[in-house]
Amino acid sequence: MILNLKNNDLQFHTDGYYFLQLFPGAPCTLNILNNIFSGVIVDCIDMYGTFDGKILNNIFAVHTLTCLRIYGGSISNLSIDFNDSFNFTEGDFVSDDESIDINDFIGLHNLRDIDPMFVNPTSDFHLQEESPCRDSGIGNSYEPTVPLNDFDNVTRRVDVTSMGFYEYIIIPPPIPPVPALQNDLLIEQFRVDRPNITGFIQKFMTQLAIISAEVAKFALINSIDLSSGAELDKWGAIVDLSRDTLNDTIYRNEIKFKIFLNTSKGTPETLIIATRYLTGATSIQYDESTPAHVTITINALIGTFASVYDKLKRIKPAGVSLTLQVNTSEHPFAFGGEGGLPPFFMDSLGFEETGGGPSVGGELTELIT
Amino acid sequence: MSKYYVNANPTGASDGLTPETGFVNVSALTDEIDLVDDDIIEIVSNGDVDEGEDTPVFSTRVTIQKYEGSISRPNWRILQLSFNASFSFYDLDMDRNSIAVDLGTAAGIALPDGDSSVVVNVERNKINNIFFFLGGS
Repeated sequence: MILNLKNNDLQFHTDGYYFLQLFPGAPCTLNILNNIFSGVIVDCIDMYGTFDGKILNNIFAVHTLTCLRIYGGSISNLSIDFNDSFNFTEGDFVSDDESIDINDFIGLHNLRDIDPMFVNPTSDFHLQEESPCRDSGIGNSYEPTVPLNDFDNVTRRVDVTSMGFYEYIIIPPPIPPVPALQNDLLIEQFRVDRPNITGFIQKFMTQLAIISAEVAKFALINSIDLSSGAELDKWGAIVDLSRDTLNDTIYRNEIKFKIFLNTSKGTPETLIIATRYLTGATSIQYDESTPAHVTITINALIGTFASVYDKLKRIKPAGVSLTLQVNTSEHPFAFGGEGGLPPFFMDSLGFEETGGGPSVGGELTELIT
Repeated sequence: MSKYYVNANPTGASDGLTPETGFVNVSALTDEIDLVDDDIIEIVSNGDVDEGEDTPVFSTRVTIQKYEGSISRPNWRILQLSFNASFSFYDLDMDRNSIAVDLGTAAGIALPDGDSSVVVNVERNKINNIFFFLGGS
């Protein structure tokens, strides 16, 4: 015989009993999926006989000795997987028959001894947003015996689904307002204030919310700013930039710059954006002169001058020469050999000043051509 | 194949032929109707359908489900229910009236034993304080 037990709310609130006692006189195929066992009981499922089949996507949230106990018989091709077990005292899945090793049938995707996090563990078995059972069950695309709908006939996801009899669903957002004029242009039966149209749109809003949430999660997963370690190395591989000895912070900046470089068109706007990103400058002056020369003057510099200049050279259009100057409002003091060595520093003041510009006071200017 | 109705509070003489004139419980229906394979019994959500001390037994292929016009799951209180053939029940709120049960008695839902052709479908039900036993207890 075949026993299909799906999407059921199985509650037992009397001490001392089992819920399913399966002692068939003939071979039995079990399809026990997406049920929730709750309450106080000895064993949720007792089995003795010849079985195969699937026990998937269930939540055993019972104050119990075991979730499933095999007394004996012959078990073959029985898959116990994607279930959540909680609140048991003698083990979740147990065999009392030494000839049956129950571990042969227990899959790797069970959440064992983990709180399913119901909205209310005694009265509301919807899953909380943070529930580990949410989207942790196998979906119908991979296991055709998984029900397509839930306890309330809500359509389940088919790639993954929630354990238990309630699919976790995202509350559909309200229908965005439609400008009155735009609405008025529609013929009457298609206006959004018509109940049938509102309901129609609302149906799609649910799916849209689910898709939007997934896209948001995907974006989060694929954010360079949030990636680190091996995840960051994957980004580096995409843009063909090896990490070498760089730490995450520097490597992340190098990758972002490489992406910027790969998408750059060498326009003045691009050069200004890149300069701001590379230097942290709040003031950037961009001047063009003949023949084919660009001078960029900035008021601050983060990082080494040579590194910034090298990067800007890779962004600028081919055939155009570039001058980069740092012009601060400060009047720094430079020791010998550190300042005033053209072409890097001009107009700085210090010992052994050798710069080409004015040597008294003035601004620190870095210049490279 | 026929469809019959069970209604705890019928508004007309019970004949089981419409949702309004359904029998007051399943036992009353099976007392009057000889079911055949593939018959469907729909329960109307209109009060508790209570089998009392009766224990309905089905020997034909039967589906018991919520009347499609009912918004909520109908309450069905049974002490014991036995099937000897394929059967299905969907979208019911099955209750033992929250009475503690002495398992020394064969109480609950007895599934068929020994027939490999039997298919049992139990889906989307809320089942309180009832246990299933397959192959006797």
